[in-house]
Amino acid sequence: MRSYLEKIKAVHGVLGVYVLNNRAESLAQYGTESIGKQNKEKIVTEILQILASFILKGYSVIDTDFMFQNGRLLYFNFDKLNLFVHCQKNVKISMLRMTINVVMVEALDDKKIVKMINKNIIDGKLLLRPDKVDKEELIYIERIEQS
Amino acid sequence: MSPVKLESVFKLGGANEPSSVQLKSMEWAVLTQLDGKKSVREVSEVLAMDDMEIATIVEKLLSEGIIVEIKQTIKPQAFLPQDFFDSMELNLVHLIGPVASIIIDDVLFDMNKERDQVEVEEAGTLVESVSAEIDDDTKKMQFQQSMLSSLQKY
Repeated sequence: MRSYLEKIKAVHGVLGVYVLNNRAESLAQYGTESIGKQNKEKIVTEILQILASFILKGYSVIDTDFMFQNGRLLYFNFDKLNLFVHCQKNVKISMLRMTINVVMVEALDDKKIVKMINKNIIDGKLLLRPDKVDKEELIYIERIEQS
Repeated sequence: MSPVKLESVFKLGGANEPSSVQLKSMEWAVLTQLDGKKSVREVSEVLAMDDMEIATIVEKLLSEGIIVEIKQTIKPQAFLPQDFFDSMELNLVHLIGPVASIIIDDVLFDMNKERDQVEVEEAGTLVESVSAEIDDDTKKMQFQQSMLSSLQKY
């Protein structure tokens, strides 16, 4: 996985690349621990909850772009995993998106990667389950309904 | 010594400390504003001085070695060469046929650009916009893949 993430990190302005499963458990990463090790799980969980709330309300999420620590935290939804890219504000976003598209197609074609994903994938698409929504998640859903 | 340009930027030189020379109040005022960021013109605006007045003071500070000019490199605007368009068109023809050149021109029209007016900085946006016009996901990916190596040259 490292060699694939290295190619994404090579795009000018990218600080760190993180692959996580749907429980925000880190599967692979490359680059500096720019998000902060302790923060990462918390931030990613929260983002996944927000995205899951959108999905529960019938929206589909392909990618998102959050302002984060004077930079950007981009999320890309792949079928079986979540890719987060922390980058500087001035990153060439079209270049980054195309690189990710190309690299992830190659990665998801790699038997070793597929094996690793299948071993670590969490059942169900996202953290949220309609029957197990906690208070915080309900707030997200209400906000989406109001918007 | 060549005359001071109003676009020039200066900072403290260190060859001659301000404390070791006699400066008038306006010279001190100018000196405190020359921070390595503001141009001479910007300093003159801050201090409400005319061009001649500030140029004389800056020249004096420069000749005393109190300040030095910061050489600024102005990056020339770079445009994508015709080769880039030829290579993009060739890649696209292989994937979607002779309509390729029309699609590229349509995208350029949307960007309000001619082929010789696209800056290197806009190359990624151009390729991504062209690829968005390809309906087949596999072909779209092949196009992005083939163009990425070209893009990395710029």
